[in-house]
Amino acid sequence: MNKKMSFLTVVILLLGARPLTLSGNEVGVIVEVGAELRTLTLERSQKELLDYIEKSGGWFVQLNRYYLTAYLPAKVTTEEIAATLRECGYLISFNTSHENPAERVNDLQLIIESKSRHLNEVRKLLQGANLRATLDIEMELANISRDIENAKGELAFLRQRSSLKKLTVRFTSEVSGEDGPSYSGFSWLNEIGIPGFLERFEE
Amino acid sequence: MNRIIIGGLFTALLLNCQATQKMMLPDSFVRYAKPQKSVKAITASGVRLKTFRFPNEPRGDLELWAASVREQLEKTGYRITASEPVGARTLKGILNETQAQYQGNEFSYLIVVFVQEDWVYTIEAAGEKAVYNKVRADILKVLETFEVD
Repeated sequence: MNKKMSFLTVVILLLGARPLTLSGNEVGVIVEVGAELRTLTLERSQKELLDYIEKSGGWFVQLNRYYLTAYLPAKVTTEEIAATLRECGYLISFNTSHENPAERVNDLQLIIESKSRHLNEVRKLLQGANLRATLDIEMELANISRDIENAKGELAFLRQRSSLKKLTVRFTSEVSGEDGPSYSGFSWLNEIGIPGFLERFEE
Repeated sequence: MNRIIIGGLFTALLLNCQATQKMMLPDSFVRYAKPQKSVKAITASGVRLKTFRFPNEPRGDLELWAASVREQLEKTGYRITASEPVGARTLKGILNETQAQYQGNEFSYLIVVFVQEDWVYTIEAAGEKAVYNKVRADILKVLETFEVD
């Protein structure tokens, strides 16, 4: 008896540890990249970034003088993104976040499977049911179908998100003669650049 | 008291005897009469050029100061378009040419660093990109004529 129980436990554990697949489509880790870029040639830097995004098979969803939000195919490496950003300006910060949706995907698969079984069971009740019972059953069928569709939708969303990298770039592009984050310890170095030069030119 | 006054006068005399920076300017640039110890010039289209000197403190060599200049420009967001050594009459320098948007216009900004013992000399030039490009060749040519007496 104990051996049987142990065997069943192992089988259940193995089933629980099956790969995250549904209809053969794997769901990978969701990666987001955030960066802060300082550039005094904003339009040119943004154009270069947009060209790179398009060339990589991605697209942008938001672009203004402060932010760029875009999606890139997951196959594009974070190293490649960092190298491209460095070509477009001074990379102040660069960070990546990884989210593993494995647990949620497992939950969703279980929800879909159990709700589908439930749907079939409830359908069977339709046979021989009177009018009032039929209406109740139809309502229950609609509720179950909605839950299944929601779970499938979320799963599809996770699958799509894991096939893309989200890139958010914050731009700093103001020319300023004021002491900024790039203040150097050597005073004359802080005076170089266009505003400082034009000021010193008049002296 | 007399010693202090004499010392002060001597220091003032030394400061007044600072080395003169010289350059042969092309016709496209007009030289300002003042200051006399450095070179200050402008073109009709507003491209400005001026030489400066700063104390070499803490003491560093050309490579150190040129790298510091480049790093400072990059950190501030300037796009480096050229970075190369230049040879003046008696000095060797390193040039950094950049581009940046300034007050809504695309500007070019150039800085060349020279180091001569106690002093760091710079030649800086800036102007709107379109007009700067017209005199760029002249600027690069005059860099070679820079000298300190």
